[in-house]
Amino acid sequence: MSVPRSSDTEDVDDLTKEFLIESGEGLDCMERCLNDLQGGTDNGAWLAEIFRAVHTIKGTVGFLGFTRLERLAHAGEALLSLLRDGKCCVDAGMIDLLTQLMDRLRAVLELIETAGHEGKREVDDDQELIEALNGATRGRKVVASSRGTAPPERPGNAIETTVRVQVETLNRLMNLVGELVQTRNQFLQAEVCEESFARLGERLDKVTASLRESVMQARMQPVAQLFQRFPRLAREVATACGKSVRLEFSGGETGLDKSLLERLKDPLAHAVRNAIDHGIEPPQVRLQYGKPAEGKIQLRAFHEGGQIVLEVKDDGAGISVEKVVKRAVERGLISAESAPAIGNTNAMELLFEPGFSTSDEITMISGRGVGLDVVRENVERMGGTVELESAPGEGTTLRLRVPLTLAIVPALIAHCGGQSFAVPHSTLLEMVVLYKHEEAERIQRIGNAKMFLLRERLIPLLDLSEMLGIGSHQENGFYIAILEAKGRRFGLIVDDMDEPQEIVVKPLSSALSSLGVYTGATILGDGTIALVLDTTGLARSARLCETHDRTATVEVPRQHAASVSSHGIESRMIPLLLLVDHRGQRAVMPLACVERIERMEPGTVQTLAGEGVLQHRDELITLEDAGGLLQQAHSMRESDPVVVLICSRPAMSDVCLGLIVRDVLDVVEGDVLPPSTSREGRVARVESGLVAFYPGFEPQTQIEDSQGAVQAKQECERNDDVLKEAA
Amino acid sequence: MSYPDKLEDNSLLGLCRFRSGDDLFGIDAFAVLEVVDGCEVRKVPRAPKFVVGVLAYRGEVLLAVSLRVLLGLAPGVEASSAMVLRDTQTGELFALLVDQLLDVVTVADDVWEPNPATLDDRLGLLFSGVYRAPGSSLVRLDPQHLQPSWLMQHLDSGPRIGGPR
Repeated sequence: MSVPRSSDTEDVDDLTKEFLIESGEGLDCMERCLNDLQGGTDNGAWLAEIFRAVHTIKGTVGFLGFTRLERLAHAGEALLSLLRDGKCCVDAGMIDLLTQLMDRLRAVLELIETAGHEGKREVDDDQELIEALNGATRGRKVVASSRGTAPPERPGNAIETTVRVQVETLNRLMNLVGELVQTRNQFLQAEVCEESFARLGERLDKVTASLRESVMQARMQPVAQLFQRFPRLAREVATACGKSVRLEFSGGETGLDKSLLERLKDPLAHAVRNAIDHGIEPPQVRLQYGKPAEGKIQLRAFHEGGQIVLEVKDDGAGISVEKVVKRAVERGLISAESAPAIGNTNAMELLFEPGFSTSDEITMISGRGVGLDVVRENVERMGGTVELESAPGEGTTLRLRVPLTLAIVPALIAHCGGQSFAVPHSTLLEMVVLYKHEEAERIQRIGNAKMFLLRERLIPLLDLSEMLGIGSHQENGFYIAILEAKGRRFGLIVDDMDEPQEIVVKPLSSALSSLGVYTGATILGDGTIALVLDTTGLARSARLCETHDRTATVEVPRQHAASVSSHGIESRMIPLLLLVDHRGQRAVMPLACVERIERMEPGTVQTLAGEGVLQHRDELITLEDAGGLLQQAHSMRESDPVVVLICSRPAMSDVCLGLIVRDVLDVVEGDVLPPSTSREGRVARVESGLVAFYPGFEPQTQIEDSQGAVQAKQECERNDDVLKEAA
Repeated sequence: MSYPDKLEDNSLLGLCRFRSGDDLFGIDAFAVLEVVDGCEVRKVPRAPKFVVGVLAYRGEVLLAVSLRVLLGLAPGVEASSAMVLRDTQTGELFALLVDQLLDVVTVADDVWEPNPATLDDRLGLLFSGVYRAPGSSLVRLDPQHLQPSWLMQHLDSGPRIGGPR
């Protein structure tokens, strides 16, 4: 997607303003920390904070063109890096020097704010201070290193946030509140037996619903707002490194709570800077490897596993495990003997150590190893996680997973042992009902492990009631939720399931969120609380993520297969729903489009203005009945249930509709064939042969580069031949 | 935010008085943000022992700490009264469940006495002295020693806290 860009001059003003606010906050923090340093308490943590403040200023000024600030910050950072690593001890002189640096930085910032430029009045002064700082750096006193002190928890360290709210929205809120007060007054005056009581209740219901919606909307901001600032940053950093980089965005419309958006700004900026500085190779090197001279960085945002994932993916050199291990030995993080035994995962873990850097030289942009440990720390403070994946020569992917605190997500409410739990829709692949008499046939025990036979594949099972140590009520049967976490598929046994609904996820106290079982809680319609299950955490505590048994690792189809397929033509094996359409012909549609399959008695289908409607997740959706199956069922007075697929078209994924089909046969894996030139409609190759896609439900494909297009065209021609043969 | 330590100055102190088990307790009335009646506690499987569950309060989900469990009494007979307090370390709100909330009393500091030397170590961590009174003395609780972050650090690792033994 493209990001709207304002004109360049306005851009500068906004950026500078933001930089001033940010740097001011950083210096305030530095001042507090300096005071604490003087107090002589836990030095390591305060030094790390000061270092970060100065580092952030340095990182930002470079591309705003404030050279004076940059030189000051660079000299300060060099000294602070020594102090932070414990290579130099803190004494009164040092604190004095740092205070001077802080005052100077503040003075320059003030000058920028008032005059719009840094001014040149005190150039000599600056030089003196820089020399003093450099002198301190060179003449360091070597002391025993004391690393690894974690910064203390800061209470209420909330970033001062402001939300830009349209006056219109505020007016609407005000009106709604007015109406709420009015309704309350009427309630107080009304007698319970009065006829109007029910009407008042209804009105109250409406007012609160719209009030809730308006407030939520005011808080949610599209991630595009965050992405918007990166093209410029990337351009500047790339120019400074002598590289050429193109940014690509997707998922910019993903809604994220404003407070999270603010806190993700720095980690993402670090990630982008790192990707350009360390990831992308210089153009001549790229050409040597047969890559386009221009590097590509993809920023993606999407929901997964009840979390929001922000991905920064570059097509650069990737991370060399050897280099990482070598550097770690040099830095004394691991011993030379243990180095060869370090696996790839552990080697990646080393990158998150404070003070680690694989870049051969320290540059003005990054390279002091501040990147990854800061990124991880910031993200973990939000209760998220950071993952790093890299393939040498192909690039690196940094994935930030943040909880969706306050985000509204669709979820299924599961019951187990009389308690309710919410399972986020995004981790859920499908639901299976198992009646008692089927249990022996479909559930197999291997040792003490339970496995479930689903479409020729054994899936490990977890029993929620056993895991949580609560009882279960499963007289007639139970439900198995097939979930996917960290690429592993597993089944979760629960007693019962409710309708899917949109839930507002509330954060849980840290005492509970650290259990790794819940990501949050939600207050249900009846006022009771349902805990939101952390499916990844459940899988981890069942040690599913570590097992290397084949069943858990077999090529699990990607959950976001539909979106993966839209990015290129290399991975087109996607799960498909095989159905019988209204004409009695077999057809498929991507499973990702289908939210729910419902069998309904024709008599229970409600109609509105002649069209069939269905209530689904608090909204009415229309039923599409292409073949008049519903009419037919009515007129024939059949009581056989009709099959309704609650789904959305790939092109309009936010519009839900109910599709009436004759029957649903199976879920199969299919290879999506590229669009054919001689035939309308797309087809997929499944085990039993070629099947056409249900009209309107073809997966979207964009051929991105010319190479891909040629390849696709060749395949098209080949497929046409196949089709002709098949015909 | 920190609570003024009123033990040292001579002024009077307002205490929220409540009963848990057989004893009377008091907690600085300024620390209590609100008293909630009729709240429904939802159990949280696998939670630390001092956590009896969570409850909904003003659209937030609060951790509920049971004084009975902290005292080592059998849980389960609490009335549904809770006091909403703030964890000064994390800034989060939490609820303290007690058997019966009584009233707010004013006590003078000159009737305060330190914890008895014979007091159990675990209770010594929770109690901060006693206000003498004829009949039944009032145990002072320090709100900071009831907050989840403090309990996590001091009690959760200890094998002795929580639940009936």
